[in-house]
Amino acid sequence: MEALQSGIIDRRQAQILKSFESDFKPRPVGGLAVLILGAGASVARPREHVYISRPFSQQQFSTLHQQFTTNYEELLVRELCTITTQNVSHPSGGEREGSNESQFRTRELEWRRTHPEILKAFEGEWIVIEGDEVVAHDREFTRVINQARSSGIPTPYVFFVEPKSEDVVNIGL
Amino acid sequence: MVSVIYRHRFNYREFQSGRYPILQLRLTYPGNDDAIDVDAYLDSGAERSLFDGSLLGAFEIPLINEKPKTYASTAGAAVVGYPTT
Repeated sequence: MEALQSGIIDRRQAQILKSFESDFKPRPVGGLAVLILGAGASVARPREHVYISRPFSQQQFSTLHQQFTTNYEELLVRELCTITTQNVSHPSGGEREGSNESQFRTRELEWRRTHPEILKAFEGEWIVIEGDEVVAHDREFTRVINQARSSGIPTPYVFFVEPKSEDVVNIGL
Repeated sequence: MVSVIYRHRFNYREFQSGRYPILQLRLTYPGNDDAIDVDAYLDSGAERSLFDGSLLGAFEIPLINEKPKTYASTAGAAVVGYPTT
């Protein structure tokens, strides 16, 4: 994740510099745009906090929003694809033949969403899914991880199947 | 008017009974080559990241329990956690 975070910061810094070149050349008097960079600069790498006040138009604001935010999912997928091509293949990476997945664990999440009846059989257990397949399940977390790794899954996608009840509503912690 | 632009953006995921701010994380531990992928529920107001202690079993390391702390929600529910880095 450290490499990923560095990638995010590097990309954002490049975006900021580009924005300075294109958008922050001398503007007419009255421009109240305030751009504060480097707040919290006591850390090893600078952090950017951007505060924008009027008179940006909505279109300008939207453009800046696109430039100054990072699509976490796209960046994560790109980083993971880079990692998988450098090391052993990741079973859920973007390299699976015939797969059009573009997001991390999209296939597994879709399977979970569309197969509640199968998941019901595993209530109260930990379960490992790889693609569309249930690789392992057990009430003991360590056992289910060991089963998955024994099946050749180096990085299992694991979750606990909560027993469902119509009388229970999840509201977070 | 001050507007805050967030560093990251991502989509809510349709998940079981609704749409939630759920991320998939890959957990690793320093000095250990093992990794697991897990779901994470994003709580933008949380001061700490909490993980199920069972997950440490994937890395064959003990749960650190020297200084347990109680983590409470604004609704009053509380759990005991063991800070680690």
